[in-house]
Amino acid sequence: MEVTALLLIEPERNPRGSAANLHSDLLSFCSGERAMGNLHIMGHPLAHRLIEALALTGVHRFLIVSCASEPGPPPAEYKDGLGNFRGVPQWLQSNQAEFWQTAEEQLAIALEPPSGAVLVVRANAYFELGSATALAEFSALPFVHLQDSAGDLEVFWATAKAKAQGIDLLRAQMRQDSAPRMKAATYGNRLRSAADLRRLTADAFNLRLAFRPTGREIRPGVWAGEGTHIHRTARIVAPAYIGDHTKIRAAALITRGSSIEHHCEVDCGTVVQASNVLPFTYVGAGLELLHSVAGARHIANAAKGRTTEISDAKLLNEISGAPAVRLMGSAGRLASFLPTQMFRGIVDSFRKRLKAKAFPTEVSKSSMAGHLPGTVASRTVTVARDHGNE
Amino acid sequence: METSRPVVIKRMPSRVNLREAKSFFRDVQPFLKADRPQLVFDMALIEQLDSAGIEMLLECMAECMKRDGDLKLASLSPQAATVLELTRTDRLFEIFDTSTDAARSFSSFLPNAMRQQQELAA
Repeated sequence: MEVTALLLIEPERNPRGSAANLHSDLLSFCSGERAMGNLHIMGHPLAHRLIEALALTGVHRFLIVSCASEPGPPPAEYKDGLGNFRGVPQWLQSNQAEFWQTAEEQLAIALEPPSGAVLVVRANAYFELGSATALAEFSALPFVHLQDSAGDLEVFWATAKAKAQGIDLLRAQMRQDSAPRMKAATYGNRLRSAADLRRLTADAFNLRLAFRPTGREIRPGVWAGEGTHIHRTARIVAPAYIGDHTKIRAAALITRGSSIEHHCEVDCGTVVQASNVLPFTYVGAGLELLHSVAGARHIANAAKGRTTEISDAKLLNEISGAPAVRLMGSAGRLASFLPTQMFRGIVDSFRKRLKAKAFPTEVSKSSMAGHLPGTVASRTVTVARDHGNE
Repeated sequence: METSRPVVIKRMPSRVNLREAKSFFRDVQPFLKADRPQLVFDMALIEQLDSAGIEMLLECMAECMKRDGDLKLASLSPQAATVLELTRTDRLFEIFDTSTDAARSFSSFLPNAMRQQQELAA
């Protein structure tokens, strides 16, 4: 039986969430269209990871319906290299108003004979069906809603016999259905909070999932993407993932299953421990990011279940997604480096002079050595001390 | 006497950016210049704290230390707690759940004999 998977990438319905339910807070971290399906996990979006997992269970064809305000080409991630799936998924875009209608149409087309069955997946959670024979368990059923140990997943299985039921369910935006339930998923993570995202990352590092971090394993347990810049004094302790074109500055420490996504920058001396840094994020110098998800000027603490907006660009900032803007920024910083250093040098020398003048009289009094015959004045001794051991 | 020194509790504004930090520092400067200042900053209202605010807190702390005093923080809002943790400054301050607890903590180091004397007087 030929099985098609229909993946639905839709932006979250509620624009803002609470600290208890961080689902929509995580959405603010997503690049591009703010949908969970676009949330990057170790180098690839969630929808990409679902394709990798489903390809293992024997799904032959993938069809992605993505909600976008403006039509555009499919992201480069979906063009090739989808893990075990050798083909290219079909990519369709639709605006918000027509999203569910497009999904209905695609389901109807996919269930036309001679096609076998369709697995409809709302790409807002990660799940795995286990082995290649997993589909055989419910392939005899015409219509079934899949579950994992925690309850319902937004995933259902439909064959041509249950075409009308499938279309009805999509018409109700997968909210209500009376389909029979089956516990089929061997792994499920609903990604409702920062803690869930951390759990998924930890599970991937512990090789419990079907996918592996993208990129090259530069040391056992340390993966790095293309064009990463890791300073020689920075420490990366396994397991860790550093995404494409990410910069890890001097004396930074990345440890305990941290994942830094693509085009990020971790500045000097910062510690990133058991945390996820989402794409296009700048983490300032000398900070300590612990058990958190950081991105889009927000920090969601997985341990304490709270999300905080960081308004100070020195602490956490967004990096532009446009390569031209990034290039201009880098050129500007390079051009201003020498003048800034010179200016700082001048200001520091003035400060030192002022400090020397402001010394209390007790301190600037000549020492005993100054009273000895043949020695220089105390002021000379004070100046000499500026240079440390000279 | 040791216990006669006042504990000053100051509530911080909801936004502590560069301008607010300067203004707040000006407000607390008279207390910082006192002999052995005992200060508590109540951070319950803080919604936004940036690096200038952290710098100001450290400056206040340094001023207190210079004069053998102490600065304690109380009632941290989630935003303030996150920024203090992020900048690793939470370990430099004594942090309390309420400003009352923080104020009480200034006298908690008194020897037992003095505490008993206080209790009897009360």
